[in-house]
Amino acid sequence: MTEHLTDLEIYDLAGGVAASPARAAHAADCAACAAQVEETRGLLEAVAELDPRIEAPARIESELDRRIGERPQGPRRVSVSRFRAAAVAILCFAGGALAHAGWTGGAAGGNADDRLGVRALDVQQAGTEYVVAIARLADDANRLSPADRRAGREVALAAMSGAAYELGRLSGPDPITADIHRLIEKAWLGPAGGAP
Amino acid sequence: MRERRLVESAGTGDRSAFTELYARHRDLVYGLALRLTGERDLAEEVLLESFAAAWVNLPRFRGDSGFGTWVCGIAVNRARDATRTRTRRRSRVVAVDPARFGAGVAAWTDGARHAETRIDLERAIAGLPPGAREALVLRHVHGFSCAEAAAIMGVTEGTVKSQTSRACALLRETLEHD
Repeated sequence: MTEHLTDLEIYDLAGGVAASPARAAHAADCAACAAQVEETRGLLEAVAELDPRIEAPARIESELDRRIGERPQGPRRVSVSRFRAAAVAILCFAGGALAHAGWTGGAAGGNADDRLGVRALDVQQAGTEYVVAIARLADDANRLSPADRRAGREVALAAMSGAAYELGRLSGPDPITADIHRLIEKAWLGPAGGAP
Repeated sequence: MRERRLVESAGTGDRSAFTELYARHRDLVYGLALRLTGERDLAEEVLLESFAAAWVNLPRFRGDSGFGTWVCGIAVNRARDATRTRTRRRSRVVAVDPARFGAGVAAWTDGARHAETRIDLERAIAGLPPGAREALVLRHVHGFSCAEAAAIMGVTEGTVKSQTSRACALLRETLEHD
């Protein structure tokens, strides 16, 4: 009697792969090998009936959404978008400040009360966008490099300093406004008050 | 939308296209990950890591295989990494329990449709050595061809066949022992 079938030969025969005539003859003559081929065939049928799909937990999708949102096109893009947010904040602030300057300068034309309302609204809108942009910057601060974080902070403080300066012009001699401006300048330029 | 279009859109940064791809393939990848790791927390981690990696690497995906095959390949590698870091498999959800194999071979050949028998089979598969398990699951649960399974596993087709036949022999042995 020839040697019993190997595991690979049993697997091949169970899958319908033709063996050499000698090995096929052995499989036909040897009850033990024939049984193993049949068992393997049944086993493979049973395995094939297992559902490859298993329902994934729903929360993974939101976690994935958060993960892919962190780095849409690589880390550098994230930094750039944060600076863009800061730049938008400054532009909004500048728009608000210019609107305010136009109002205090008494621009010609139109009713003074109406102009006041429009200017105040402009400043309010600019201020809101500024706060939102800074909040976004703060939310993502932990994902920025230390250098980007420092730069973002400087940009924000520069905008805040400008706002405090304009606020001082608006309110006149006011110690509280002056203190706010001084504190922001200190945080921005450092205790020595050096240029950035 | 056709999958190829979804893959192209996702590759250019379209998150909604990627979300659709995720919806189509998540259960398959999770099924694969759970069978390869044997632990729900690891399988969830593998699922998450696989799709996060797919998102990053999609711009470089050449489309030589289907997206599903490609992401399954990522999942297999992640599952290997994940299981390698675990020193023990004590919390296996589908841990091997020989006492459950009392029905023996006759049960799964005659009545594999029964849920209990399927659970026994899942447990037996979970007890296979990693290479044999990978090959069997990819070939006969997920239905990948020998060439696809070889590409996913990063081995030759001969290795896939030998690992699958080994898996079958081990399963027979396990199921025969009461």
